[in-house]
Amino acid sequence: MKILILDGTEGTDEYTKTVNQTLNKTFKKNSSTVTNILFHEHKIHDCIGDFGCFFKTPGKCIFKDMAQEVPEHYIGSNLVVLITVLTFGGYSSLFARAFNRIAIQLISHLFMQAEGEIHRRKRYDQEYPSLLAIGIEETINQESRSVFKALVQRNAIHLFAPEHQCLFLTKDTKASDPTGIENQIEHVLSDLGGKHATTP
Amino acid sequence: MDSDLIVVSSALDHEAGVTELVSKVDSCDVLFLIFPLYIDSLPYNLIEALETVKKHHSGTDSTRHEKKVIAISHSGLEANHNRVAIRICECFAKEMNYQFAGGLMLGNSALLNGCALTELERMTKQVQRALRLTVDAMAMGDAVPEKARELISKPMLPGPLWLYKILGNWTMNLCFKKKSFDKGINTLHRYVKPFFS
Repeated sequence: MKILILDGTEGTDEYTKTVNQTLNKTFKKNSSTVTNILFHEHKIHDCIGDFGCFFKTPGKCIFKDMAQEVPEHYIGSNLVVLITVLTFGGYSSLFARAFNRIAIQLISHLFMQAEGEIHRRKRYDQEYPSLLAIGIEETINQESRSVFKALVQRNAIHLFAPEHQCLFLTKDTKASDPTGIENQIEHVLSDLGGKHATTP
Repeated sequence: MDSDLIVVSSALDHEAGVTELVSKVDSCDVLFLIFPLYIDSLPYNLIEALETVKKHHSGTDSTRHEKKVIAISHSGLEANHNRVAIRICECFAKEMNYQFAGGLMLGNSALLNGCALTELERMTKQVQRALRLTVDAMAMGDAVPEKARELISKPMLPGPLWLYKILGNWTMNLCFKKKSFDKGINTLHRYVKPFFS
């Protein structure tokens, strides 16, 4: 199974490093192939909203950086894991900066109608990967979590994810050590239809 | 009422801009957050601006609760697509101990095509009325009226969804042909799949 991790944390915090390391370890236990992309290691250009990815170079952002390369890994994966610091119930700016550019390359400029709404069509014929969004928080904030779940649900619709789940990792809880993190990851993966569970 | 406009993309580029941003947010009575929808959320630079504001305002301030926040989000799709983004703005207001005075969701904003609302009087009369109602409410110290929320969320061109889809696709393909003629790209190129073709 192919896993893509998109880590939009700052990379300076021991806890978020532990989260990333534990995720990698958990997936590799089951012989999954993991592509781990740390946004803070790359210089990422802003989205300038020119729709070049629709009209000039369809499916590819005009800026040649990591965000232009990620879509290929995205479509080739079975599960995409998003890691962000929970920010006002949404993604952090570091995460959003890259994700804004990645996501739009995965969809067509054309529209479709689905469940009473207009959406963009998918660009690729393959089944798109499921989404696991990990929100890291300093302390538990139920309202923030509720907004994040709604955001991920909407993203899953727009990105044609067959399944999606959210996982909240809180720094000040007893489950903030690697074992606690691993247990929470295993639990949420089993909720993702069992397809992505690491326990054979 | 006096007003100031800050474009966050240029403000965040330099230290003086950041200082001005923080200072103006600190001193205002009403903070309007106006943005296009990006993947169901705020664009990254507005998130960065809000993170900056929060970072520079740690600690408590008893007058913070008097500051009102209003969010105006617009999307090329229907108005309802903006709902989560408005909730994110509300979360920001709550974390800062500001008062969230409401959100306005504008759909089909691509129809504006960069024009001022007053240039498209007939199509945008509901939008303009909604904004006037909002400003009047602000002047009285009230929240965004329900009427304003209803008016701005109504489609600028009424019609069934399938019509929007057909018109939208026709417009998108027209855009593609225009740009592809300029750039010499084959019109079939629009269906390109750079990976896994």
